[in-house]
Amino acid sequence: MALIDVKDVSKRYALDNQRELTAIDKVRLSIGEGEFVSIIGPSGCGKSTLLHMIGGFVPCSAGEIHVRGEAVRAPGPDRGIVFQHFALFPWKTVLGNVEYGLAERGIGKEERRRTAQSYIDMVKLSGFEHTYPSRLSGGMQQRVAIARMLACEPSILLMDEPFGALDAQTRKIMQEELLELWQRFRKTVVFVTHDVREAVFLSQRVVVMSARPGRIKTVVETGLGPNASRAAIDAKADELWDMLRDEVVRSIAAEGARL
Amino acid sequence: MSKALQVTVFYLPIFAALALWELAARAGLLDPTLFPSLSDVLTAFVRLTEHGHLLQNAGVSLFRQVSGFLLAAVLGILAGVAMAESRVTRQILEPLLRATFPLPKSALIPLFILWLGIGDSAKVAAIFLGCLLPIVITTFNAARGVNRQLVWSAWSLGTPTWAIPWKVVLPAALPEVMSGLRTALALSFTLLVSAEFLIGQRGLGYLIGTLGEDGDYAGMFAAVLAITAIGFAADRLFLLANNRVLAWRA
Amino acid sequence: MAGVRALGWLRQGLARNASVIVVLVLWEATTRTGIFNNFLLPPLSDVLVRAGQDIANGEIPRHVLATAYCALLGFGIAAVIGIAFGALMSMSAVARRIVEPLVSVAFPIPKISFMPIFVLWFGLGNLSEVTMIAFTCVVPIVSATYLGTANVDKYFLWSARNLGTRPHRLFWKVVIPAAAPEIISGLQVAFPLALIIAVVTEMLSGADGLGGYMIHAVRFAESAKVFAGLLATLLTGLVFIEGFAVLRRRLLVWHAETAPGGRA
Repeated sequence: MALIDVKDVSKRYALDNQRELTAIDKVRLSIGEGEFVSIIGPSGCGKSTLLHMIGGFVPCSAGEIHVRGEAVRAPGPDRGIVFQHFALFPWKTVLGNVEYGLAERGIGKEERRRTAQSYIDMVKLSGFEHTYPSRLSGGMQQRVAIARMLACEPSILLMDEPFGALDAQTRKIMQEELLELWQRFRKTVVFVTHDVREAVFLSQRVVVMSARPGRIKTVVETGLGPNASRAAIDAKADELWDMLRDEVVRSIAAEGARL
Repeated sequence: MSKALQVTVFYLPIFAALALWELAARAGLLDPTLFPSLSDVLTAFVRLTEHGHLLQNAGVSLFRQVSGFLLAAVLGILAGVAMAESRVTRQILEPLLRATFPLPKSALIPLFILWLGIGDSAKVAAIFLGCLLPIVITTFNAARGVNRQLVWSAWSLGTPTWAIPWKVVLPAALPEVMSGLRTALALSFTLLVSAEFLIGQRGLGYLIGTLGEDGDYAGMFAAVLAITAIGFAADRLFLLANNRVLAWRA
Repeated sequence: MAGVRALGWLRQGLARNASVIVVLVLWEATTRTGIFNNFLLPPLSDVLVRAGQDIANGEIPRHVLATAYCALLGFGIAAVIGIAFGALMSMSAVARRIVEPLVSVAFPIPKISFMPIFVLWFGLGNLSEVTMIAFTCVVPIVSATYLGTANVDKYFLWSARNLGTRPHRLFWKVVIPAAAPEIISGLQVAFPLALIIAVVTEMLSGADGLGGYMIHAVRFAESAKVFAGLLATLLTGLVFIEGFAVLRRRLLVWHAETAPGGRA
């Protein structure tokens, strides 16, 4: 049985002038335990919405999402999430943020602090425990967000374009570190991104979505191991980009038509 | 340059204006009845303080202002957050807010005179109701504007739904809420003084009125100075508290 | 067809304003059945009748015009002086050093407390009222204008220079339009203030105007008249606010907030 089962899921929004917008249309997807799966697609294709539905933040208009056989009804610590703009609690320090989920679970102060500290060290932010997020760079803030998510030891990691707000150089470092972390813990990761190469670099399977209404256009096995050469990654990325290209062009045209 | 020196330099033009005032009075450019000199005003200030008038009335005024303002702040924030987080609350309160928003807050004073007479409660009620609306509106807008992903993060980390408004939405909205409170603070003083002018019965507004009627213009100026200083001090104190509470900002 | 659309529009209006309608209905019901003291809370119908009478005999219109006249005049003076000084502050460091502390002190103080001084100097008539209104409104206008003109994105200015604008024309061609949203926001804050202060000063002097109307009503214990005055003041405030919003949309038609999907 797959860990995550997306069964014919659709999402529709009602617009104020009686019309309806179909964001996602009958998407079917299965993700197994320990897999690293990326979802790519043009802007507005609903890939983030799909992720949010797996997370339980947004209800499905049709179809169901099952995690470990049970239908998803609400968010929970078993599905951790990281967002593009970090969503750190600005009024809490780094330590306060990372400890947050542990505190919600009622874990005692001493143990909380120790656990949080170990994760802060793991994302290479030792020494910044008592700093407020407003004083940290984007890359550092995202590390805090990742540590905060991992501290609750979720079995599924949902990542919503986590490196989209970072500059290209920081992004490369973060990708490498994420891959390292994943190889260490082998959690199931669902990773949404715009960046085709990033998807190929990180994952074994890449889901390509069409322009709105979002459907799964194709699912591609990257077939690349952890020590894949740059050339191999680039070749695969080019192949995927060709599949994605018309969808992106279509979505840009649709955007213009809406104005 | 030390902080104290920096502040003094900043306010130099004000000191210069005050000096100009005194010089103009000394030079006979100002009619002493209509425009007492600064030294006359300060003498009157000391006199009034010695006789206790200033302190007593200031105390009464402050009591009214603080009561009205605090009540408006607490209820206003509660209502604003509730409106942002609960559709039902919003559907009930929003039309009422929209309907009463255009009313100039000072217009409520005659109504409260009608209902509560000329005592303290009329003034506190006028301040309370006048400040309540702006606070509810700014809090509601601030809470509404909170990044949903902050809420989702807290939710996924195990925060129960009922705790979210107080654990996440309010702290996140706090900078904007505090800004709204600061504006309401200034409004509360305006409503206080207006009410005290209209409904005589102790208080600095009342004192200003009686001093004027008695022809003690230097004293009147002194009392105006007093309430002005209190309003200014309250604002600066609020700013200090604001910076303490929001130390986590960039 | 038009009838059906009007009905749908009516239904929507009712749904959106349900709680207000409930309050109004309860008001009439509780006062007619004597649950509430009719003196303290006259029935809604009595209030409307009284308002209607005073509109017909010209009393309310006279007061509305008096208040509106002083408010608009005071606001106009504040706008001219405020925008001029605010812009000056952003262009001249000397002007800024002098005006900034004055504005900083003037903002939080209850400026209405100066009213007895203005009355001493100018008497009880329109002059002291308009002066008070202008004094109160000028502060937020100066502040907003200064912030808007001083913080014009330097990339706007660089682009304009790059495209050939001479330095001395930059102010009118780039700075003012770029600062316009900020300036208009300042005006938008000051506008309702003008009405609030106008009403208060009229209450103090008992002069013509909505404030005077309501204060006389209280003094003569005519509660229906007090409520009629409240209603008239509410509607005047509404016209002011809506009028300004329309003006803002017209002036800022190019701005993101008035675009479809924007917040205006």
